[in-house]
Amino acid sequence: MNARGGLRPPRAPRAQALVLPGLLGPAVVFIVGVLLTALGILLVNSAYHFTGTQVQPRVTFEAYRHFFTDPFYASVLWQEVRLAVVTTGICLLVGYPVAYAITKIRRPNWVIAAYILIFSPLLTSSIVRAYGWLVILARGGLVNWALAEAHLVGSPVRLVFNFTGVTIALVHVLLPFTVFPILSVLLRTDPTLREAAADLGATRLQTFLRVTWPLSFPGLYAAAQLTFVLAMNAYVTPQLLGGGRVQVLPLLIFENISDLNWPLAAVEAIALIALVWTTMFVSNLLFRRRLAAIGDRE
Amino acid sequence: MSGSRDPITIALWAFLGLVGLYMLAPLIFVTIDSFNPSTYGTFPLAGVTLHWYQNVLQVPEFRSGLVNSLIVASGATVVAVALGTLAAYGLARYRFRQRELVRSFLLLPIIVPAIVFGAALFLLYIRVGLYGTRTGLVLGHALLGLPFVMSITTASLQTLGREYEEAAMDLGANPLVTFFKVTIPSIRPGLVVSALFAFVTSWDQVEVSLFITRPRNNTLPIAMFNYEQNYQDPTLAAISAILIGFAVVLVLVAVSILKSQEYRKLVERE
Repeated sequence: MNARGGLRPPRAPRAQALVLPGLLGPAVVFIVGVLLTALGILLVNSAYHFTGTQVQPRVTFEAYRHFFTDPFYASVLWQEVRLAVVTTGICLLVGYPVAYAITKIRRPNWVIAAYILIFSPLLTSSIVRAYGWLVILARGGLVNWALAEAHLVGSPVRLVFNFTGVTIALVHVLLPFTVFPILSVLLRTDPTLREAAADLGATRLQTFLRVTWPLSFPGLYAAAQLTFVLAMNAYVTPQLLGGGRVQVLPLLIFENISDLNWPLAAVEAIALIALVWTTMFVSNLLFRRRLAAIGDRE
Repeated sequence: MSGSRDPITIALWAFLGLVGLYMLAPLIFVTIDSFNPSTYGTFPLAGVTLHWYQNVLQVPEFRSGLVNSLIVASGATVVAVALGTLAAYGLARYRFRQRELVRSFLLLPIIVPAIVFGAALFLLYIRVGLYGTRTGLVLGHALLGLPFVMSITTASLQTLGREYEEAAMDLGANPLVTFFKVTIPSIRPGLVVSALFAFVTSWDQVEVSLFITRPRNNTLPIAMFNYEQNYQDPTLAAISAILIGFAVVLVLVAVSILKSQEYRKLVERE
């Protein structure tokens, strides 16, 4: 008898054949009719010819050739990946201890306070947060004023309109998304496992390294993947804090749509999707192999 | 208890406090900057002014953006909740071979990068006359909310189980009556959360809106985004401070609900 043997089907098959399309149909038709149609038009446009002022429906694939031969786009891709890797790295280094610290709080009021501190910025728009970082990091802003007052610097330090500024603000925007998956896995971990390790004579460091850390790996992995993908898709933060000096794919896509160069924008969009989906696919594969390796050892 | 007072734990809490400050810093300094008399928002403040708050009322884009955002977010929420709940019911209550495929398919709107979705929608909308319209915005935002509604509602339907529905039908209620009188009321908390998600998704949306709004027909985030790129005076800090104020009120309400006696009883009963 299989695992589902005990369950009886909820409705007669005939009723299901009538009701199910009615339930799922509207959502599926909506996605096909708007999202997939739009993506289809984008895909077709990627092959078209751009005269310099307008798009001609002539299949030339020249935007692809341009994208893959002009070294400018290689540097944009490099910038894109570098921003995502650096941001994800910092988010994990900061986010893991933060999630771990929250699990160590005993008083309910302090737990609520910690949740508010870490997650409440999600309630404000990314534009408000980017503007906040401009106020803090700009030439006449708070940090430069404080540094000058303390006589630590002679002239203002350049903290915005460069890679540093974008990274500081992007870590701020994405940190809640890093903390959440780690925190939920840590909270789900059975506390008796740690107690058992301690009873068997393990030190706190050993308990962490041999019990807590390996068990939290799925959360760490989910956090890394989510943060990385969100960093690659970021538009508002690089636009407002990059000052045109941090060129990433999302910025180019908007720029080229505005310049009416839709074929190039479409190729960049396809490149972004390919980059994001490949990352997700490969990391899923690596994760599964790693889990299998852990399983074999036991 | 004494074990939690060792140096490592205290160091961890100190780190948590520092990160908390980092998380709040931009919100605090935006609020301070909204009273800054200097047009360039320089520190330290040379005084205190309410000028930028008056200015917020005088920027017509903010007022029309606010109205537009409220209408679009409400419309998108209604569409996303209606379609998402129907789909969730189908996914949670029926077993069929392509179920996982359909579920993944319904997640597509959030798997496609928002900026790509925006560019694609623009190319579609200029062909069908939806570019720069409220309907276009509602449809785009509803698509983005749909996966959240579908996931949250499917989860609450699965936790609920189908015993109550079966009991209602055994007592003679037809499927439609059962759905509206038993299923919907039982999953109300899940529906409220998913509606909130859909609303906030639309309310804060930038990347998709950017492509499909006209200058005359902006949402509030787009009006703020454009203002930021053109002026950069503390008017933006003032409107941000107002929005932060709303968020603070929301947090306080949520905390008071969490700590209220009725909620405690509700949680303990379950």
